[in-house]
Amino acid sequence: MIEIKELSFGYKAAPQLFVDLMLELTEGNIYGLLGKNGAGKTTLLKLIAGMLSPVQGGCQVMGYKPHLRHPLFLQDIYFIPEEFSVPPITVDLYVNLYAPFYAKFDYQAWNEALDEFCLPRDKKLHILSYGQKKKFLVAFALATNCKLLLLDEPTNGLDIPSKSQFRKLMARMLTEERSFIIATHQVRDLETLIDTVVILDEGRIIFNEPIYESETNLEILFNDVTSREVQHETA
Amino acid sequence: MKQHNLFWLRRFMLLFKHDLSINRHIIITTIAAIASVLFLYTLVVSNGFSHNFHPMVYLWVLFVGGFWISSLAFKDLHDKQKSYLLLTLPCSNLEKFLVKLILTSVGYVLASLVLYYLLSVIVVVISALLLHKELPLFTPFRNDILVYIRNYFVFQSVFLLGSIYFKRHAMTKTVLSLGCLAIVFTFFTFLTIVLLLGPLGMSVMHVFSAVIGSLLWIVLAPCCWLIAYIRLCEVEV
Repeated sequence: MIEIKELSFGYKAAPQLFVDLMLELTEGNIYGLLGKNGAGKTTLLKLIAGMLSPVQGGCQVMGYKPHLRHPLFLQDIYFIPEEFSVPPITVDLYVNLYAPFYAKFDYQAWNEALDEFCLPRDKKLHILSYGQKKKFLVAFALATNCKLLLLDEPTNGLDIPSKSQFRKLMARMLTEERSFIIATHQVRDLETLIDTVVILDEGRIIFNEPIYESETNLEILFNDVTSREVQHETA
Repeated sequence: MKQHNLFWLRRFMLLFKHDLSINRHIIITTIAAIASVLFLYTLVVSNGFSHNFHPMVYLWVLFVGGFWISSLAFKDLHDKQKSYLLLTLPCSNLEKFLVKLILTSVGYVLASLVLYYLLSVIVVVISALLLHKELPLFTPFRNDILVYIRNYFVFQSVFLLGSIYFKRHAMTKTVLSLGCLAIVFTFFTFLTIVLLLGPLGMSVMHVFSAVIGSLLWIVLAPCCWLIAYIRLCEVEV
């Protein structure tokens, strides 16, 4: 589904963030993209979503080059950034305006997700709380039936019941053709959901394995892998 | 039906509807501004209406309103929290560009003509009833109005480019850039021709200005559209 080969990327006036990055992700998984601040999690999501283009190397997502932003590619991908703004329109109008762009939009799944998150249909989006806005976007993203869902810190701003609803909904909506990539710091919130862990450190993938093989919790695994990496570098 | 990656009419129409709906507060603000300008101007000059009254006011409505709207066309692209909506919307860059171009050029001209005409009818009635003055009705298809519209199409393309190019205060920066470019271009052309050709320079300068001027009318808008489209394809956030 995602094939990244020798990808290099850096922001202007900053050192290269990724140098010869290699990553292969398949469908049917919920990936947890973990890493410290500045490791490049958000940048990697943006490269996969086509919001940034690689300086060198290749990034293929479902056979497309993401940075070309082909409409058919964009129909099969949904990116929910950590910080976002929503238009000042009602939930219903948003769906009327945006859903027709997604050929596989599932109105039944949309209604179910909306009910599950207890979101009001007649309220304007910009007056909803941050957590409600986030739940709204997650519900919409899942209803688009996109093959690849990219979420940046999705549990930030969600209360405890909402986090549980979020996990249940995500697990229920996963199919063999879909993949979810969740970039997060809050590993505890999502450890029951994530099935494969990808750890980014200073622009490199230092861990990419299914979680059931590691027989430990995510927080310990993350600390263990990153400290091993530090020891390796100092040696 | 097979979707084409570059342009598909259904997607284009959906995007058209989407843009009108999402930007309706800008449309409402513009309508309110046009109405205010017309009513205020009517009050201010109520003692001396001339046959140029409507073309004068409409010139302001067309240029200031149109340039303002064009400068806002790609504002969301520069907002880190909003850009994801436009960039990841399943439409091609060409469709995204064409919708903005049509809405801010042909769309704005047609809407402002119709709106101004309707408002002028109201103003005529009000001025007759309250001010006891006879105000001429706005006639959209006069020669001077058509010239304004032609000029608008050319200059609007610069403001549309400015809205993609400049992250903040696009309208001010576009006006300043245009002014600076005009000054620099005139200065260097004048210097080059006068220094090279001496006394003959002034007459050559007139011919040169006329040729460049005509070329600019033809070439400026397509060039700006092309650069704006390329820039849209390359936008990263």
